[in-house]
Amino acid sequence: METAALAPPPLLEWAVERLLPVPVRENVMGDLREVYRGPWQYLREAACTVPRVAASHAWRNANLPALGLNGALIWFCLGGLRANGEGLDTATIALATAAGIAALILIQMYGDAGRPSGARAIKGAIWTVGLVVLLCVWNFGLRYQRIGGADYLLEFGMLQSLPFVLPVLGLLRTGLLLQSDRQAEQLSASSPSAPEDDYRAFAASARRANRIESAALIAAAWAIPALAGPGPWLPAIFIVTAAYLLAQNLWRVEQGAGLRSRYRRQLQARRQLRHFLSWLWAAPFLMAACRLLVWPGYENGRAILVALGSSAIVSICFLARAADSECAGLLRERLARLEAGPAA
Amino acid sequence: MPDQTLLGQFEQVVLGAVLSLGKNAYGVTIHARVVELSAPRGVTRGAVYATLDRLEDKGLLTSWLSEPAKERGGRARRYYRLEKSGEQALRESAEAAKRLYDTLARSLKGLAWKPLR
Repeated sequence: METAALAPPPLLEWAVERLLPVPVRENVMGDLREVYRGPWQYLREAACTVPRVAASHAWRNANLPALGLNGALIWFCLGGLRANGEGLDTATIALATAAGIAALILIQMYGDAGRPSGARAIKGAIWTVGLVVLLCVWNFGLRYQRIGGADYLLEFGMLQSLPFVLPVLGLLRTGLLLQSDRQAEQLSASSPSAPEDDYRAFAASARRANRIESAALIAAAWAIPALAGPGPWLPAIFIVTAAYLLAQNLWRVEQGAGLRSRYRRQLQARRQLRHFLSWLWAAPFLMAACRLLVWPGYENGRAILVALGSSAIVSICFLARAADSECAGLLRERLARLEAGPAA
Repeated sequence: MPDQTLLGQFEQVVLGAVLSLGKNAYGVTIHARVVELSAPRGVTRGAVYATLDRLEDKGLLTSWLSEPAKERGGRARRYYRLEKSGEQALRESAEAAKRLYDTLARSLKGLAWKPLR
């Protein structure tokens, strides 16, 4: 095999790498580099390789039930099948749902699933607080704010208290970070075991988590109307998700596929499921922020409510995303462990 | 449920390439061997990767990443190896091809086995 010092232009290599799904970058980029003869040959090879590899990866790793539940969540949160016909029309909701699912598939293929460092996590909290401040300033400057109204003095107090949101978010983020650090330590301390043992341990912990979380989802389904309003759809999604989690415990795919491939796909599927669950748990709180704070604030000209609501939305999104990225990072570490050793 | 060990023609070629390469079966070498076996038809690298993925999903192949290699810009190779079920599927495909060949050779005069090289 020729191993000349020829290398593709860094910019070209960078662009091709960005188009490949994260889990296959390592070997495909290496192969393309190994057969490199010139920029045009590299481009031709990349054009023949990247679309097939991306499509194959997307199809093989799509967790269709999780995507379906995600679609349902987006659909109903945007007001799909609303009885009074107010708000967005059905076509817009359908379009937004389709766009949301497409975005999810792309995020799962191209999103950086690594666990963020402590510094990056705290930077995220600082950016979130910055966004909250901006939202508050924006809302207080809007036309619906009545000068001299009920919130006229409150708004200044609130702006002064905003910096205190940072330690709260930072603390919550650090808690998530420490928890997954502990899990990562346990994983690496559990001896460089065979993939069979790793898979068995992973399957057992997933089944345990499924049982606990399905019970929590069923309990939460009863409490949701108090937060998200009286509609039946969100509780229904909670119940269906709980049933899906329990069904996963009953349905064991043992025959057929080889262990490594099965384990790899289950890790990918788990990652997508966790992504959905992070946002599912956030959904009632997001809807409550809209229902109890943002909309009444707009209707009654109370900037403080809108500011509080939008700040709550940003903070909830930040925490949901943080929980998701920690979990995705841990699953990626398991995947790296699986890939590291040759098959026995 | 379709039989996971039933192989398409291209899958047979890819599995055959992995088998013949032994311990040196990774993306570049597999593609080169598949091109050789499929001549005069051209085969893109993407088609080989997609088929390798599918065969792995069927449990006929297994793969793992090597240590990073300097000549690949510090990237690892993904090595492939046939599982027992892959060998069995390939054996069955070869037997089926042999039966087909024998049948055709009896019916079509002038059909003779010509080795590629």
